[in-house]
Amino acid sequence: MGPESTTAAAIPPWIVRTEKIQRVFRSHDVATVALADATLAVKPGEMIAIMGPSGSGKSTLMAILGCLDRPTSGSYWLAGREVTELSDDELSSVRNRMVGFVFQSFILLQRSSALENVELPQVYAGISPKARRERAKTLLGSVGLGHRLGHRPNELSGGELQRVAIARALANDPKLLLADEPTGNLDRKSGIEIMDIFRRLNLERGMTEVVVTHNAEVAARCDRVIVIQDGRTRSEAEAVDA
Amino acid sequence: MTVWESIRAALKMLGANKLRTGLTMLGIIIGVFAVISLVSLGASARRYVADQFAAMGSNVMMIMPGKRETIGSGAVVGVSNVHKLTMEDAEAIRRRLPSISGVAPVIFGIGLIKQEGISRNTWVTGTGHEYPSVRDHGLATGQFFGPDDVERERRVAAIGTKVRAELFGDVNPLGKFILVMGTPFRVIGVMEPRGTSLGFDLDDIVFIPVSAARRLFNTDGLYQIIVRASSDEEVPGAVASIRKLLQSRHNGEDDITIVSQNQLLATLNTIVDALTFILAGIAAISLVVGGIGIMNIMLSSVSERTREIGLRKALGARSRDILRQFLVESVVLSTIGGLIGVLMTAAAVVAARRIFPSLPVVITSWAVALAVTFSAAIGIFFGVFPARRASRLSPMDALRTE
Ligand SMILES: Nc1ncnc2c1ncn2[C@@H]1O[C@H](COP(=O)(O)OP(=O)(O)O)[C@@H](O)[C@H]1O
Ligand SMILES: [Mg+2]
Repeated sequence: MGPESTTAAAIPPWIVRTEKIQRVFRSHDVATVALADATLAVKPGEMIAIMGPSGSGKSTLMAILGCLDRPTSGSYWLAGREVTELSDDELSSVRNRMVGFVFQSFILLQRSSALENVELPQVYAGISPKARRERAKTLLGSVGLGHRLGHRPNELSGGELQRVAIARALANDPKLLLADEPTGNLDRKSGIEIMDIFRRLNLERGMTEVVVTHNAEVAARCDRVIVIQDGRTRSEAEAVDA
Repeated sequence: MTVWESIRAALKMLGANKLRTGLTMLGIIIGVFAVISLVSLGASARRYVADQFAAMGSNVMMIMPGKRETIGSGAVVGVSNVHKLTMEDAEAIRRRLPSISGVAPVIFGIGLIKQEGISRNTWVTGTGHEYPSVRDHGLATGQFFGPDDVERERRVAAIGTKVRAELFGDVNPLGKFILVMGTPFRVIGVMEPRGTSLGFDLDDIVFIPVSAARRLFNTDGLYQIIVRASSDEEVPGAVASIRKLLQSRHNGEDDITIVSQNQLLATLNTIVDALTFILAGIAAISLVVGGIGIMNIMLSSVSERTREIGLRKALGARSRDILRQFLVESVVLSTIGGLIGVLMTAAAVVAARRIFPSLPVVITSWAVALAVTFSAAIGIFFGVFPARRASRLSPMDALRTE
């Protein structure tokens, strides 16, 4: 999409690169250091697993990678662009077009059908109702939900909900897919199905993915594992060795 | 998102909680209903007053003895040395002022009327021969008395239709005698029916020559002189010249009151308008209360839907998209409430027309436009605060709330 894609030489080696990201939450004079030093880099087409104990800062990191939150300090380049300097509206646009986010708890609009949920990112991209409906149908078909288009979230199983969420994350053809414990609320079988979808997206479409998981099996099928502990990413070499 | 899409989304949200939406709208519905019906009631009252005065003619003036000018706070300034209005005054106006097309001196009081055992207390009006043209009040049958009847103090009478019906029933009254306060008068005419004006029954009057009335009531002062100018444009000039003429006749004292219909109408309209304004103002307060209801419901809606807001922002909604979404919701809520209020007022007007067919009930279109615009404005005004609050949420914080 951007000018960098016009020639091979201009393609940056990293789609995601962070440098000493810190995130400190302050409430009632208490400062919580959620991220002390998150430094990592992801190449286009890579599928990365992020692992770490509960409270280590995984979700905080994912929120920053997804531009849902800003770091307290440090730098973050997304597709070669320093996003910590962007305005709120520019960040909205980045979230809308560059990043797809899959949450642990799905988070779908309860009063809207699967189709309408998948259309939502396209609404904010200003795509016409007809075009976005077509795209949403195709996407739901590709995650095996072609027969559930008109269903509301309360009429769908957990695995199906997460598949709707994945279709939604893909709606505007993002460069980066982020998933924070996408199988955390699912039974084993559904979890495997969901991870298969992520794997397929990565292999068949070359989607760059960062997935938070507690599952070593899942992590083992990723290209690389980044371990985070007490808000610090371990050096990637260490992590790969681990 | 197009405006139409935003409205559809808002309708869907509002439809999802019908009871709450309905109760919130009720505040606006009642407010709009109150504003439009009170303003329309004021307009109806205005029209009623105008109708009542239209019967008199807009170029008619009334001259009364005594100075009854009100100043400022409404204090009445009385002049000690009040001259009576006399028939000679009336004559002078008739002869000397060319801008006047007719003059009717008036003496009146209540008197007992008898005819073959039927008796009745009614208004006895002594006046001149120009009365029918001055008041634009013609005759149904017979004739009014002429100048020589007045001059020679003839005992002749023209009676209103009600008097005729009460005293004569179906019998032709022309040529018959009635006793007016004990004195026999010959009936020579029956007036056209005129109905009531400002609560005064114009058909329940016996007209006799002013000269005869003067003797009957034992007075030489007139109650008033009614004057008709030759046109509406002549009225202000006529008022001035009458004042000047009578001042010179009354030893230089300005001791009369002249009221023109237009002036009276204007005064009454001012009162009606002030009342309408006050009542509509009070009704508008209920609209504002309705607006606060909207703000309240939108605030709780924002906090209930924090996660939805977070999600929308996570998926690419900008702050202004969220602002617009909530603003459209509150405006749709208040505008629909306003429109329902208008429909209810229309229904009430139809009902009022059925129940009181004589009342000139009108629905004022500017009040309708104003009320609907105002309710939409209330939606914006009271919706902005909750909508801003929603739009400023950070996506991550919003998503974290349960
Ligand atoms: N908005 C916040 N305000 C205060 N503290 C927070 C906030 N978000 C996360 N934290 C804290 O930051 C730390 C890391 O949280 P999180 O990133 O959610 O961990 P993980 O996802 O690895 O379990 C935790 O101690 C958590 O309590
Ligand atoms: Mg987490």
